[in-house]
Amino acid sequence: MLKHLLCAAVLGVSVMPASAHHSGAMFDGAKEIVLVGTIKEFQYTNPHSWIQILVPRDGGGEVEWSIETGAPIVLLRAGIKSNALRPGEKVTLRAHPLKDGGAGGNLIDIKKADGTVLSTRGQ
Amino acid sequence: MRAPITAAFMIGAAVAAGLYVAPTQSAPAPKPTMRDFASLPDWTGIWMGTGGNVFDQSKGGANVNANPSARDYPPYKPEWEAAYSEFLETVIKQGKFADPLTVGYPGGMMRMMTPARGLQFVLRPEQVWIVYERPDVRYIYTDGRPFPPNEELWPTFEGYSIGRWEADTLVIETRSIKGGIPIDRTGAALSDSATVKERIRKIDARTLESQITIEDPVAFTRPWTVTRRYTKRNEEFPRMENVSSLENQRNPLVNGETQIILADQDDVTSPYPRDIRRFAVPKFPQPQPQR
Repeated sequence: MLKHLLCAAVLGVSVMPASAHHSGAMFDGAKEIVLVGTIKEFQYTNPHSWIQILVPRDGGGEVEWSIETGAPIVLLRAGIKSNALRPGEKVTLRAHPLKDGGAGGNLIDIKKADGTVLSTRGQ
Repeated sequence: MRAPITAAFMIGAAVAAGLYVAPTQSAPAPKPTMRDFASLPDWTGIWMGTGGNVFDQSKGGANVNANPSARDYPPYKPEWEAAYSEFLETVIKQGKFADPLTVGYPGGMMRMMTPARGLQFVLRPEQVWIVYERPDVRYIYTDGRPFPPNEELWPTFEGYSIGRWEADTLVIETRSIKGGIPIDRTGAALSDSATVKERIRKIDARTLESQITIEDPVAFTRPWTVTRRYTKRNEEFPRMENVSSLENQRNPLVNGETQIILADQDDVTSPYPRDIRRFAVPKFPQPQPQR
């Protein structure tokens, strides 16, 4: 799965968000991945919002990643509204990856083309 | 059902015949513990629990997400402590905690009072409603009523709460809380016999403090007192939200482990968790938008 990533970094210490309502055991809180891709869909939904992002695959094609983040009320309180991410938009996204190597993760933050960084950390 | 319907019908017939005179009733005198609206304190706003998701923050165990070795310290009797310790080892430390909130159960006592989501305190003379975003509501009766007899109580997530005001401190006693429900993310639980006493007051403009004492003669060797605080949010977006766990549930529990539904795995637009999807009502076939 690493070949699907344009960049991968490993950090020594990191933690899951305190407000996660389910177990974070499926995510690797000690690792960070960076996905550079195109927003397919922003599911602004309870109990978690999801960012569906298409990431180019080595050798052609693309992989759709599912990146989990907070409930809409959590995002709203962080200033992230339902139109914050639009289909077709190019972004750079950091996440804690799934331990099993699947195309999913837990959002750390997301950088838009204009340099804006969206994050729920501290909420 | 027949008797009340018959009685209502007979009264209606009597009124129609001009024979029925309603008994005169004088307005009931206000109960001594009732306060009028104007004298209630101002607890308006949206409040968030401070501290982590371990109930008692005084022992340094702040948050089990960040530290799976975090634990709580209820004054358990030896057999309860043994069961809790085993749960910590085999479930919590393995990251296998199936949080009832995850699959749509209400917050309940005590989870409602240690929230990572918003709380509202709606103060009325006869009741206080504590509204939680998970969602759940506690009804606290401040109209001077006594607790109902035991045969009119049954264990519930929120229990049955009677309150009274001592100056601007809301004093609550809650009984009939369903036992076995995790009171925090370490899985600590109470028996069906617990009584919870809370003293909630505003200690400054942005802080509510609650001194919570749990008495549980079945599980505990002594009462357990914990202080929790709630901070008033800056209200840039002053609204509450019901955070339903069933709306776009992509983290089903399978064999006790939290899963994640990826893009290529399932119909993620189904409103039902994957575990019960095969029992669920088929989705109405909606026309696809033109691209």
